[in-house]
Amino acid sequence: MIEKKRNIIIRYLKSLLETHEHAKSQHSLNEEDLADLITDESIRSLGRSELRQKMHAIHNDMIAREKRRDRLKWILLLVAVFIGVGGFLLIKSIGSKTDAPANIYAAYFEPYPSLFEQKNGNEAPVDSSILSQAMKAYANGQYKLANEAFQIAENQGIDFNQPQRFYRAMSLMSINQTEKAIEILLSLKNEGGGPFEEQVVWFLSLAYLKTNQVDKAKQMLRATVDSTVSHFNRKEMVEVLERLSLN
Amino acid sequence: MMKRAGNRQDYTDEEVVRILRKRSSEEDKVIEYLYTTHYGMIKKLIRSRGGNDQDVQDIFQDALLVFYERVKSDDFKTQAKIGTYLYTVSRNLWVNRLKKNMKLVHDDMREERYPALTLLPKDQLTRAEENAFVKLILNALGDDCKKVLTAAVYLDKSMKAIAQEMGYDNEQIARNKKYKCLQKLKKIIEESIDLTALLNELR
Repeated sequence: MIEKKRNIIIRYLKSLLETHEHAKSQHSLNEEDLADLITDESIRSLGRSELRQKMHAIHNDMIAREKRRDRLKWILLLVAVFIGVGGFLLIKSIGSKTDAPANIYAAYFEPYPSLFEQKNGNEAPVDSSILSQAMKAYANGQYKLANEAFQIAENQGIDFNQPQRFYRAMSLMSINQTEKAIEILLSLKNEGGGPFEEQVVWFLSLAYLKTNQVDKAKQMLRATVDSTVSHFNRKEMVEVLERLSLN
Repeated sequence: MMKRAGNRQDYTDEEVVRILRKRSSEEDKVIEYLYTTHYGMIKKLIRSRGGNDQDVQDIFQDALLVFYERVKSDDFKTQAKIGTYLYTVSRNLWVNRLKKNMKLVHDDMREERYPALTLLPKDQLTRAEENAFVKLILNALGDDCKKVLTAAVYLDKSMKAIAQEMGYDNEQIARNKKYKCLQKLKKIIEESIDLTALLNELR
């Protein structure tokens, strides 16, 4: 082991001397010169060793910084992906909420205006029957009251004409009793709709949307839009169909 | 004009050479600047020619040492670009190492795309040989002597600067210390190496 180490040192010093200007005249090199030479080179080697240590420390710092930077890049990338995906899902969720059938219903449903005639402005009608009271309440926007009056009339077995049945359905839709409204509107449609034939189609479609019967609503709206160029709320029907097609 | 990039100071080539030549206290910052600025380029060079990360580190540090010593000994032409210089030295050191290791099958690095640069044998002393030699000296020399001799001879610092660094009262103490340490080192060498035998081997 000692011999091996000695050989390494000798090899080093030999190669060192080859580089030295004295190498040209090695034959004149005495022990004193050699000692001086090796002393100089020792210091040089010590200096190199110190500089290498500095560079080693710089290298380690640099690699550590690069690693930190790489880690930060990954974190930022993950955050960006997370934000991107989250944002996409959020937008999708907002979009789907906006165009949910119930929301379309809310955007388009308005109770059909009362055609009930009042002789003196807000005064009570001359006909004070329960159906008249129901129609008056409806005209005043008192849909709950109108509905109660319609219910009493129904319980009393009073016959409703087609407009009264239509308004009965309207008052039911206004207080969110949509299923029952659908029954009435459907029966009116089957009978041809009477004076509110076109309105019945529109409101029945909306009622289907409210109860999430989207296919029935689409089918009815599509058939109407395709078969007529002028229809009650045709423009709105097209809009609703477009919004439904986005879902 | 020096610029600051993040926490690191940027230097022009002229400033680097000037600071290294005048033994400025800014030397460490300059070395760090050189290291972090040019490492990537040498990494590409060595990795594209079959070297691994350790090879890159060894070759680049050796090239930087060659540059440092050439600047210190006024043997560096200030017209040369430091990046090109380091690239050329690294390339030559790597070719030499490959040749030594008999790994060089296709010597595509011989193409003269870069300025010719002759490496002196002293630039190519192997690290293992040098390390063994340094360890031998270090074990016997002591830390203070090592610092004083390195600063005075290798780094070429003034006695005033050495006195400040080492906490001596004045330059004369630094000068005396340097002399004593040189004598000590010489003695260590005379005691550890059979100079007569070495001379005979050399002749």
